[in-house]
Amino acid sequence: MHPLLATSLFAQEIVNGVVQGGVYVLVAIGLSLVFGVLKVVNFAHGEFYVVGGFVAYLCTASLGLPYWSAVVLAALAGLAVGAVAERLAVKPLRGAPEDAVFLSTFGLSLVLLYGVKLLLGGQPHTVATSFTGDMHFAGVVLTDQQLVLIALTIVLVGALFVVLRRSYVGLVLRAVAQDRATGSLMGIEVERVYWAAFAVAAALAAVAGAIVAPLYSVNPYSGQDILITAFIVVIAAGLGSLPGAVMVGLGLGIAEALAAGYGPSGSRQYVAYVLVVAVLLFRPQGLFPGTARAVRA
Amino acid sequence: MSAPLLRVEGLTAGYGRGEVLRDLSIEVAERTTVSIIGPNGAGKTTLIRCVSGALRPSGGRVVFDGEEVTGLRPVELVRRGIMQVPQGRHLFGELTVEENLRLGGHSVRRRIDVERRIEELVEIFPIVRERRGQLAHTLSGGQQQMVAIARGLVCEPRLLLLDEPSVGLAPAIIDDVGALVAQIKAAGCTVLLAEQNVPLALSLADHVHVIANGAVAAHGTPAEIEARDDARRAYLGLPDPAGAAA
Amino acid sequence: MSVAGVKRRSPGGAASAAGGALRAGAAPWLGVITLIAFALVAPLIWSSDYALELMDLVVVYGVVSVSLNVMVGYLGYLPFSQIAFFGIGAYAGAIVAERVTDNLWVAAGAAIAVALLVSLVIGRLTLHLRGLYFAIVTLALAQLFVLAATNASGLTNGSNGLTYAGQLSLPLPAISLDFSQYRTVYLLTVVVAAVLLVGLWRLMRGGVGRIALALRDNEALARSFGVRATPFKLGAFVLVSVVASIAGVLYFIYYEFVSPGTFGLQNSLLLLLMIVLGGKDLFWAPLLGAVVFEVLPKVVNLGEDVKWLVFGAIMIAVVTMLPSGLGGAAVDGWRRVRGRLRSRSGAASAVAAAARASGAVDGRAAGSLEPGEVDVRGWARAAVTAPSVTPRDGIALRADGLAKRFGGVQALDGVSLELRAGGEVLGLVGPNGSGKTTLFNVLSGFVAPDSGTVSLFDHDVTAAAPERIAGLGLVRTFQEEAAFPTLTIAESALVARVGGRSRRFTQLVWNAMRAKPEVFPGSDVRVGELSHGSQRLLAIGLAFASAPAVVLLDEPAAGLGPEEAESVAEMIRLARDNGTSVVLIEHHMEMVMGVCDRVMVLGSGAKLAEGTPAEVTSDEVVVEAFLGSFGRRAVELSTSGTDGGSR
Repeated sequence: MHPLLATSLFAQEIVNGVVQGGVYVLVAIGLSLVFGVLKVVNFAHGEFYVVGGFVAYLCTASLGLPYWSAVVLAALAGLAVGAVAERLAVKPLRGAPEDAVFLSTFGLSLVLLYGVKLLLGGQPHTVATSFTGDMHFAGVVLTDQQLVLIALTIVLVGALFVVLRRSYVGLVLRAVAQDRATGSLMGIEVERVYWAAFAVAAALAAVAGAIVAPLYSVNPYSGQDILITAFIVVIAAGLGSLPGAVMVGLGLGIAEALAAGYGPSGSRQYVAYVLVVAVLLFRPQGLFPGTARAVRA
Repeated sequence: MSAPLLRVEGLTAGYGRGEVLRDLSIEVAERTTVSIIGPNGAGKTTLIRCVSGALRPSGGRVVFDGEEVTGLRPVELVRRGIMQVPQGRHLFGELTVEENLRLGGHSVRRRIDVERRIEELVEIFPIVRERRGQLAHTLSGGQQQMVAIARGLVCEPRLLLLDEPSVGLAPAIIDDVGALVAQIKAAGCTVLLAEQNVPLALSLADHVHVIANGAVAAHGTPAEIEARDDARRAYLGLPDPAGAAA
Repeated sequence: MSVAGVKRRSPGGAASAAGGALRAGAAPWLGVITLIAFALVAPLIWSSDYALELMDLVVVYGVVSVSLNVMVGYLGYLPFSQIAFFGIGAYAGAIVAERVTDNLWVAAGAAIAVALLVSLVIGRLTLHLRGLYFAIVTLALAQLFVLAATNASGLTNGSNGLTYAGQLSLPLPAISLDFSQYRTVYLLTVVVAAVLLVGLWRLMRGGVGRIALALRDNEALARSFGVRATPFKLGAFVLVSVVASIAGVLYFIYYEFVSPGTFGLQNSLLLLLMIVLGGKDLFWAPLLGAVVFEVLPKVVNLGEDVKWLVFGAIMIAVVTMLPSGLGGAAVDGWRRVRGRLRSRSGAASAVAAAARASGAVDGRAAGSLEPGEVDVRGWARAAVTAPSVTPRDGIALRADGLAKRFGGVQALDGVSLELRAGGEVLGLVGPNGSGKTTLFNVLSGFVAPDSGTVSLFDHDVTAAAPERIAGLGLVRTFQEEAAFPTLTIAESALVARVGGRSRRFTQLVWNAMRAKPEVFPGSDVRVGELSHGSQRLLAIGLAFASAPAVVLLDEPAAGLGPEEAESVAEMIRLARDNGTSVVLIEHHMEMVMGVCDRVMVLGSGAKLAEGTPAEVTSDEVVVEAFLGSFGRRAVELSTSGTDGGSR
C-alpha cells in the first residue's frame, strides 16, 4: 500500500472512532452524572438514547420538520421522559438499598423499549438529515453529519463542564453529590437537584440518539447495546468521574474503529469487553480513581 | 422579659424504633448562649437535628420566634434563620474553602449580600483568608472546624446550632474554637451549643442544660450546674443513688 | 428521676418490619405447598405436550432463579452472570453431545466442569467489587458470553442455534431412559431439579445460610467472629453457577436445541423478576415467580412486545410498592393473622410468663415469646461464663509503636500496649477522635498500621486478616447496635462461635434450639426485633460466645440507661473472672472505674497516661485535659463509696 494511502486510511479510522466515541461520551457522561449525584445506576439510560432517535425520526419523517429542530425536540423529549422516569422509578426508592433502583430502572428500560417498539415497529428506521454534504481532506472523508455530531458533542460536554465547574448551579450540584445531608442543611432543595441531574442526563442521551440516527438507523434494541458500552466506559473510568468518562469513551471509540480497520473481522465487538476485563485485572478501582462520592468534573 | 427565640416543648424523637429524646424541653433567649451537655448517646445531637429540621420529631413542639416550626424541612428553617454546624464539620471536602462559604449563603436571596458577608468573615477568620482557594479536605481538623463555623455564619443566622465543635480536636485547638464562639456570642448571635467537653460548654454558656437518657436532668447557670451533684452524676451517666437503692 | 426500664416493642411493629427477615427455615411450608400443588397439577395437564413443555420451563427456570436468589437474597449480590452459566451448561451439553458422545453423563460432566472453572475465575475477579460494580461487571461478562456464542459459529452454529440430532443415552444400572419421550425427559428434569433444590434448601437453612445472612447483615462483625468471608462467597458463587449450568443441561435435553437468544439480557431480567415478585427473602418464593412468568403469558396471550412491557411495569411496581414480593406479603399476612388469633386466645402470653417464672416452659411457650420478654441477660451470662480453653499466663496481646495516618490526620501516633492473658480488663479512655476506635481497628486486623507491630500470644498478627486474628482468640465488637438483625438469637450465637474453640456454649445453643428450649426461651426471636439495650447486651454475649482469649469492646454501654449499663459492667466482670481479658472503650466513667484493672488515656493518637484507675484520675494533666475539673469531681464521687450500695 502506498504510504500516503495508509496514512489517510489510518486518519479515516481515527475520525470514525472519534465520531463513535463522541456518542459513547454523551451517553456515558449522563450515566456517570446520575451515579455521582444520586448514587444510583440507571439501567434505563440507554432507552433515552432510543427515545431521542425515535423523536428525531417522528419529527423528520412524520411531521416533516427540519432536522435541527428534531434534535432540539429530542433533547426536550429526553428531558421530559427523564423527569417522569425519575418520579416514577427512582424517587419512590430514596433510601432503599442501592440495587432497588437498579431493578426498577431495569423494568423501566423494558417499558420504554417495548413502548417505542409498539409505536414504531421492530424494523430499523432511517432518519433524513439536512446536513448531507461531506468534506474531503487528504483522502479523509468527513460527512457533515459526522461534523455536526463532533461539534455538538464538544459543545454539550463543554457546556456541562463549564456549568459544573464555573456556575453556582454546578457548585450546588457538586455539593449535593458530595454530601446530601449537609447540602440540605445549607438550605439546598436536594430533591430538585436530583430531579434536574436525572433529566439533564436523559436529555444528553436523547441528543446522542438524535444526532447518531442519520448515521445508522433508529432501532428500539440499540438502547441495550449502548447501555452495556456506557456501563463499561463508566466502570473503566470510575463511576462518577466525568473527565474519565470523556477520555475512556473517546478512547474506546477510536480503539473500536482501529480494530474494525486493522483487526481480524468481528474483533471490533470485543474491544469493550477486553477493556472491562483488563480493568478488572489491573485497575479494579477504575482508570481515574478518586473519591467515589463526588462528581469529578 | 420578651419571649425566648427558641422554645422546645416536650420533644420526643428517635431513629427507627429507638427513642432517643423523651419529653425534652428547653428555651433559648435571644442573644444568649445555651449549652447542652451530657454523655454520649444522651440525645444532644438528636436535639440539634430536630431543631435544624434534619430529623422530624415524633412528638412535641419546636417554636422559633413565636412561630411553630415543628417538622419543617431544613430548607424552610434556614430561611427563617436557623443554621446548623454539623458534628464532625462535614465540609464539602472536594470544594474550596470559598466555595464552602458560598454554599453557606445558599438561602440568602441576593448573591451580592453573600459576597459582602464572605468579605466580612474573611476579616474575622484568618484561616479563611489564608486558605480561601484551597480544597477543604486538605485542612487540618481545627481549621476545618473554623471554616465550618464560618460557613454557618454566612447567612447571618438568628440562631446558630453548634454540634460538638470540639470533637476530635487537640486541647489547644479547642481553646481557639472556644475563643471564636465567644467572639460570635459577643457579636450578638444566639447560640445553642451541644458539647461533650464540659469545661468548654460551661465557660461559654449563659445557661446550661444537662441531658441524660433523652431528658433534661438538670439546668441552671454554669456555676449552679458545677455545684450540683445530681448534674454531675447525670453528665457522667452515673446511676441516681435513690434509684439504685430502690 | 426515673430509672429507664428495658424497652418493649409492640408486636405489630415487629411484624411489619420483618419483611426483610424471612428465610428458608422461616417458611418451609410455602415451598412445600408450591411443590405439592405442582405435583397435583402436573398429572391433570399430562396429556398435552404444550402443557408439558410449559411445566418443564417452570421447573428449569425455577432451578435457575431459586439458585440465583441464594446470591441475591442471602448474600446481597446481583450476579447477572447466572443466565450465562445457564447458557454455558446448555451449550457445553449440546456441543459435547453433538460432537463427542451421546452419553449424557459425559455431556453433563463437561458442562459442570466448564461452569466450575469459569465461575472460579470470574468469582475471584469480581466478588471483591462493591454491589453495583459487581452487577455491572457480571452483566458485561454475561453479554460477552452471548457475543461469543453468536460469533464462535464453528462450535455453536452462531445465531441460528445448535440442533442436536442424535439419541441421548444415560447409562444407569437398573433403569433405561428413552430420551425420545418428552415425559421421560420431564420426569428426569423434575427429579434432578428436586434433588438440586432440596439439597440447596437444606444447605441454606443450616449453617451455610446462617453465615450468608450474617455476612449480608454485618460482614465486618462476622469476620471478626472468624467467618472467612472471601472463600465463603467464592464457594457460594461457584455453587450457584454450577447449579445454573446443570439447569442448562436440563434445558438442553428437553429442547435438544440451544441458541444465543435464550441467554440474553431479557431472560436475565426474567430471572430477577421471578425473584423480586416471589420475594427475595424466601428460599422457595422465586418458584412462585417462575410459575407466574412462565404460565401467565401463555394463558393470557398478549404478544411478545406487550408481554415484556407489562413485565417491565410489574418490575417497577413490585420494587417500589411491594419490596418483599408476593411471598413476603403472604408471610407477613399469615403472621398478622396468627398474631390476631393468638391474642384472641386470651391470656396465652400471661400463662407463658407464669410458666417461665416457675421454671417449667414447654416447647410451644418458648416459641411464642415477644421480643421484650426475652431474657437476653441470661443469654449473655451463659456466653460470658462458657468455659475458656485459652492460656491463662503471660501476655495475650501486645502492640508496639502503632502509627496510622488518614489523610491529614495522625489517628495513631506510636501507641503501645500490653494485655495480660487470663482476665485483665484494660480501659481505653480519651475524647472523641483521639484514636481509640482506630486502635481497635488495627488490633483486630481491619486497618493495617503504617508502622508498628501487633502480636497475639507470640503470633505476629500485624495487618493479618480479621478472620485469622479471630481464629487465634481475639474478638471485637463495633459501636453500631445491630449485630445480625435478620438472624435469631440462637443463629447469631452459632455464627459468633465459628472461629472459636469452645464447644460447650454451642451445645447450650443447640439444646435451646432443638431439644430443651427451656434453657433459653426466646432463642427464635430475631435480633432486629430486640430493644436497643437487649441488642447491645446480646452483642457483648456474642463476642464471648467463642470463648476467646481477648475481647475488644467498643463503647458497649453507649446510649444505655444506668440499669442496662450496670448489666454490661456485670458481664465484663464475669468474663474477667472466667479468664477472658478485655480491652474496653467507654465514656461512662463509672463503668471504667468499676471494671477496669488498668486504664490507658489516649489523646490525639498518643498515649497520655497509663495506670490503675486511681492513678490515672489523680494525674492532674490528664484530668484537666480530658475529664475537666467537672469530671474529676465526679470521679471522686464515684470512687469515694457513695455508690457502693449498688455493688
